[in-house]
Amino acid sequence: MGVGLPATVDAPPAESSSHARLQSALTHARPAPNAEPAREHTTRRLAELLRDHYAQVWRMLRRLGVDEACADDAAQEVFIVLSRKLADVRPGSERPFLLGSAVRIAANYRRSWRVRHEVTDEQALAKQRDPGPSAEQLLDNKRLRQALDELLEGWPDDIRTAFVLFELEGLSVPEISQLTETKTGTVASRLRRARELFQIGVKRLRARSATGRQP
Amino acid sequence: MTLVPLLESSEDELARALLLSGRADLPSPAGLQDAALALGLSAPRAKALAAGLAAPHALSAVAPTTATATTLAAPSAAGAAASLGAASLATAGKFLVGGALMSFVAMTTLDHAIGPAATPAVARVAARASTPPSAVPAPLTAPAPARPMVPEPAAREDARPRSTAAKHPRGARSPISAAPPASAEVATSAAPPAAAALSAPAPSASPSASLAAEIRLLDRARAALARGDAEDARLSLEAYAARKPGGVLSQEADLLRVQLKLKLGQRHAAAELARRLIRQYPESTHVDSLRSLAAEP
Repeated sequence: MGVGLPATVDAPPAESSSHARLQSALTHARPAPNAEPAREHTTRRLAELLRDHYAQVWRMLRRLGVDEACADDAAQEVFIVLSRKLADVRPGSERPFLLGSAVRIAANYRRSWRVRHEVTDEQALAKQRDPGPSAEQLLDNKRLRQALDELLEGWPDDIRTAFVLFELEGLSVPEISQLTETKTGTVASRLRRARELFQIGVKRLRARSATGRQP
Repeated sequence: MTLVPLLESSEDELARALLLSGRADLPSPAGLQDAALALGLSAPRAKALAAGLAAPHALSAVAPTTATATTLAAPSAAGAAASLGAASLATAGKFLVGGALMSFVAMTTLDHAIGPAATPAVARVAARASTPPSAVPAPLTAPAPARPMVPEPAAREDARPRSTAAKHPRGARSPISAAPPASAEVATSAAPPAAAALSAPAPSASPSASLAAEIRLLDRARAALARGDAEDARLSLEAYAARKPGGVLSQEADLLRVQLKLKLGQRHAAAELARRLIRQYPESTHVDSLRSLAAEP
């Protein structure tokens, strides 16, 4: 999915796709008289969607492996994808659309991140040798979250996605099945596998924090 | 077999604390504002959206982390206790609560009822809770000078001497949410059809859908409060009370109820409710913040 910032005011799109119409509606300073209500409607709808879903989209991207420095951009990207297709998205089905985009965009980020950080095996090994956060450090919300992210790191994408959507974002198995275009049985088995991985991770973290504990 | 989310079913307190830390993560208002501008929204609209995110979302972390704090010290939480120590993890939970809650408190009445010694720590905590990397508007951090963002467990302990979480019995898992007057009072003029409609987002009645339903109803209430739609917030909270008394996130609901009263201009009633919750659960980890909400200007 080619995703980027929307076309600027200087380059109004020539084709009459919904995207073009939207861009036109959003960026032309003086739209045709009958475009004004449509523009206001679009803007209001986007504002409501941002208000209702931005935080969840952002949080999801973070847990799906988009690092902190990129999360704002990625969240923006998710909404821009929606804004381009807004005319085709039925009111009420924006949320699954947004969450589905977030899953895909997170996967893109993870892929490009891996390409850029290919030599990190050594770092990963170093990390494993790292005693990990001490019990005291785990008092910090941020450290807990870092520990969670480290725990999820390296999980197979589909398993991580199922886990994040179900355990952290509270989606149901059928919802996840729809969002990821996967059978419910497959989602359920991914979730079971994810729990095994999670339990192993928690156990490992507990052991690491025991060695890292201050005397 | 129906899967129940770990947050509801796990007895492992470290696992729960980890999951809750994920749930408590907040984007920066600046990021939302940028996104709004990129989508072509006007600057004032973008700013208003960002402001809405800054205030009420600070609350979203409150309830679950409190649940952690109270259950961490329970005798059955042997898993967490084994390697980390129940007391220190209980403090972790409490700290999480403090962070999220205080950023909300800072928005309302930071100076009230929090001991002078506690104020700098509280402000620091507020800053941390509400500040993913990009800058957050000044008000939150204004009361205190900038501090290094490093954990200072000892200082926190000093600042928050009532380390009561460790004394909670298992039964006290949702101390505040158990208060029937809170929901009863808000839900007095319950309009069942509207409430039923609101609870519709959870299509399945399976237990696995319940956390999703809780999250959605409370997100909806919070969003309604953010845009000043008290009626929608009230209906969402009623729907929540009707379907999930004592749910995982019910403490979040209680705090939203206090906030709703503030929004409705019922400062006295808000303070009254906060005080009642304090009286009923004096050991609650919410006490500091409830006290500040209870302090009428």
